[in-house]
Amino acid sequence: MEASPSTLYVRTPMPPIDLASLQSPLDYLILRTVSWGAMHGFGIARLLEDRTDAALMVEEGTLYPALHRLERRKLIRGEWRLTENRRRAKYYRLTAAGEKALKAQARTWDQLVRVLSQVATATPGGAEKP
Amino acid sequence: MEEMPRWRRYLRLWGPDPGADVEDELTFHIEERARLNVERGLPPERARAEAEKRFGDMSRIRTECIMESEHTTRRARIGERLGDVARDIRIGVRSLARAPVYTVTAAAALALGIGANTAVFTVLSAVLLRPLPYGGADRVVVVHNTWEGSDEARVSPAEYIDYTDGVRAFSALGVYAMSNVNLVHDGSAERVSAAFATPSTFAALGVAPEAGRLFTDGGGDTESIVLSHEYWQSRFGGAGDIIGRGLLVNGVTRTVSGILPPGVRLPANFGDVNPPAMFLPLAIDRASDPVRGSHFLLAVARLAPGWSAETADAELKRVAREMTMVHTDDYPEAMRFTAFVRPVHADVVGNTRPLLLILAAAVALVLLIACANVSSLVLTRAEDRRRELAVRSALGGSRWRITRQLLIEHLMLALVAGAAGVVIAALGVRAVELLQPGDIPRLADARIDSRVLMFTLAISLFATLLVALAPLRFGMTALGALRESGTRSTATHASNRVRRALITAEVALSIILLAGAGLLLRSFANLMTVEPGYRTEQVLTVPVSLPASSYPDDAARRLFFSQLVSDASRIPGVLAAGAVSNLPLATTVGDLDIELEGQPVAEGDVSPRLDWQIVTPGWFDAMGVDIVRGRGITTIDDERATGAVVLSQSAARQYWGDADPVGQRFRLGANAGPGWVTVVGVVRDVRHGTLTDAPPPIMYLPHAQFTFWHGGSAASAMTLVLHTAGAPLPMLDPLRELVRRMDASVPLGNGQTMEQVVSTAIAEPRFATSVLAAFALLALVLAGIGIYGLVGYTVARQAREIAIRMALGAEPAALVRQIIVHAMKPVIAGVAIGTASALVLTRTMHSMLYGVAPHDPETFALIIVLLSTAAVVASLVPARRAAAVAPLTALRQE
Repeated sequence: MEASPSTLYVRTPMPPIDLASLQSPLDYLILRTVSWGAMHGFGIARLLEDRTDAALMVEEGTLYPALHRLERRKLIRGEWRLTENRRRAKYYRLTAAGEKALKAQARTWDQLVRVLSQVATATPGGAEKP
Repeated sequence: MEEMPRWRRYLRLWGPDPGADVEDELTFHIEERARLNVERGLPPERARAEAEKRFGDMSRIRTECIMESEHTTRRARIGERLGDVARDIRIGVRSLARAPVYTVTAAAALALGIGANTAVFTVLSAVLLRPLPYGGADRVVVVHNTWEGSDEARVSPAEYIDYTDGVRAFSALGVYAMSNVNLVHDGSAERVSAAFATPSTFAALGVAPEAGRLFTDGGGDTESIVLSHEYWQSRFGGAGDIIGRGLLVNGVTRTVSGILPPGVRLPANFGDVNPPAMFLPLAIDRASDPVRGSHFLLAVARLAPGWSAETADAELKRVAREMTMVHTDDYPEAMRFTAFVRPVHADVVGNTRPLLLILAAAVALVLLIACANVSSLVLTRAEDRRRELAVRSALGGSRWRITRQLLIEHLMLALVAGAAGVVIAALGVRAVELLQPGDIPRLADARIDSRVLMFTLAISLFATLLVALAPLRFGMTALGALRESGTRSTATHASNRVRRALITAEVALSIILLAGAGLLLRSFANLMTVEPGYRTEQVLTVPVSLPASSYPDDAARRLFFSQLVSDASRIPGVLAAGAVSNLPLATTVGDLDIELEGQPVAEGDVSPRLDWQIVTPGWFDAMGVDIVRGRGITTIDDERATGAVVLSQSAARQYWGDADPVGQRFRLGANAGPGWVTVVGVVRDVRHGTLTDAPPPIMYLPHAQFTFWHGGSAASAMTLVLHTAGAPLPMLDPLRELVRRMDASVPLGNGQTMEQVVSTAIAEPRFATSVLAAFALLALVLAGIGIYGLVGYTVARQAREIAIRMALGAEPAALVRQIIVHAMKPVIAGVAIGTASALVLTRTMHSMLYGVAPHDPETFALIIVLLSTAAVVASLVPARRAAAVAPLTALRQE
């Protein structure tokens, strides 16, 4: 069965997944994280580190260009606040547009994650396997 | 890790600094990670190093973040700015609405000032700035001859040939002359203004037809007509089939060959109320020995590539000089004949430039005075708003923010005033068109176009800045001074100084305007008392011209006019009738060489000359020109009698001194008939060209005897003049009826009373005088309002002191006197400055003044008294009102 590059047809009744419309995984993760509450860059890094028991990024600092990109696209908004230690830090929170984008992306990502894990556990020649 | 330069932190004063913020953010991360590492047991240096290593390529990451961040802050900043401006506008509107009296007064004053300036600029733009409707108008020049006694003279046909052949600087040279022609169309005859022009005229002007074609060169084209666009529209309704239509002009059928584009006129016609409606070809035939001594053509030329006006002028003079050396009979040495070139734009508008510039200056002064008044108003308002400004400042409004909001408020006021000003300007331009003297060239083209609107915007902004200047400075100091307590602060002292300075300025500017207006008024009054030498009331003038086809010979023309004059004098209500070739004040006179009996003209000398007029019997009587010696022209002087001539006093004095010239003989030059003439009488001098020019020396020749030079014929176009018992215009109908009965194909021209003719002649000085007087009056009123306001304000602030003084027994009269004296101090300063400036500036007006010097002491004394009186009166009212208030009431109000 030939599969076109941008859509993956799977047996189960799901709408097609438009890979082209997906954000980068990092962006998605940032939006997800920030949706749980305002956080500064370091806090996001720590949270990702804790929750996933893994180093997601080769360079931790690449978080920051992503944050600023998202801020430019107005999906998150940055504001400067004082931490408990009375240090000046930039906290990010989700904007309304960001919430909408997150919701739209969330479903697609979930689908993709499921499909990926299915494909990963499938044996060659046995596409019909559940 | 690189350190960000410390100085960058200070950039934050100007707003968010993306670079510094990113630096802080990234540094925070690394420091937090380092701390965490230390908590986990790493030694500090290694903690830091590990954090940095984990972080990654700092400079790359930093650069990326800064790029993104700058984008964001830029957008945010713009949005914020726009939001600020929108908010300022909202605040401004509310603020203005809360003080309607101030808003309306200030807007009205500014609107008047801006409107008047815009109106004048509209006229200026059309007359002086807009390019003439010619192709490459900067390459078009006008050619004038000049000689002893004639600054600007016309060109003769022979000279046209010589200039065309000899002057290499001209790529085209055209000549033209104005005339009136009889047009018969659809059965009705009418007199139409026309111009005869050589085909090269249109080439020189660079004019292409809107439809059809212009005259063809080569002289073969004798029967084409080119119509002006305006005449085509008004007379033929813009008919599409006009090309090729036949028209009967002066008894000859001609064909319409083309239409000119709208607005195109010959250079000499731009000031005409009645410009040529049609253009007929003028053919100057080299072969037929064209006339040299008769200068009646206007000339226009186009500069050939590589020639400038200066080099062309030199070339023209060279050709003229060679010409005079070849034809020494026609150009005696003493005549000092030469020619010159003038760029066409200067030629068309040059005369009105002084008038228009003076108007522009006057109206600018009015605007400045209005701005001074409004500035005062704004200052008062600023003082009243001290509290509001204090609150805003305390709530965190920066100086700049508050200033910006005030500026926007003023700007809105000025823009509203500007819009209202445009409306006022439109009305003003209409008023100018109605009142116009008639010879401001191109006035008809005046419209409010984009250039005018740009100008309006510019002076609205300028007015804003001017008006806001003083109060804003006050506002700055006020904001600082608010920290002081009490009602008296340095700020109010400053405001007082500013106010008094404003009054001084207003008074000075008003003096300048009043001086100009006063001088013009005086000059105009002098003009009105000029004795023209003839009757101006109860005189009707009507041009009559005989079509050459029906009246080909002298006998027919002479018969017609003698019968017309005698029949016209018999119309009931007509006391006397006569006809003249050139009506005074409405036309110019030309001159003609004469040769006195027994005084032949020596080689190289200038021949004696006199200006000439042709008159019928009865004209002196009808015009009311007194005969001082001998007799006038009568029916005796016909073709069978000896040639008779009547001289004006200055003509007699010029060649015969105080001796009685009656009986003396001289010969008319240029073969004009009847040749030898005998002086039969002397009449009083008359003003001819303008009321201010000296009366020319004139010889009056009888219509029944005169024939034009070089074997020409009797005059076919004369102006009939009737002295009526009652109002002149009702006599037009019986006259028309009379002429119709005599010959229905002879049209009458435009009938005017002599009063109308005089009125047209003085129209320009009257226009300039009335406009300037209106501006001066406006300035006086504005200055008076300003003084009234200042005194009122001062008195209100000092109400307490006044009350105390009155309670202590001061005389109200003395108090009033003191207030007025104090108020007059800035006025006196203004009068001094204004008078000094006016004395310098009025010198530019000397060309417009008649019989009065630009520094005329009487006028200056009068306006100083006038303005001082007005100032005292303006101060009196509030001063008396203050003194009239009972002291206790005043004290209680404090």
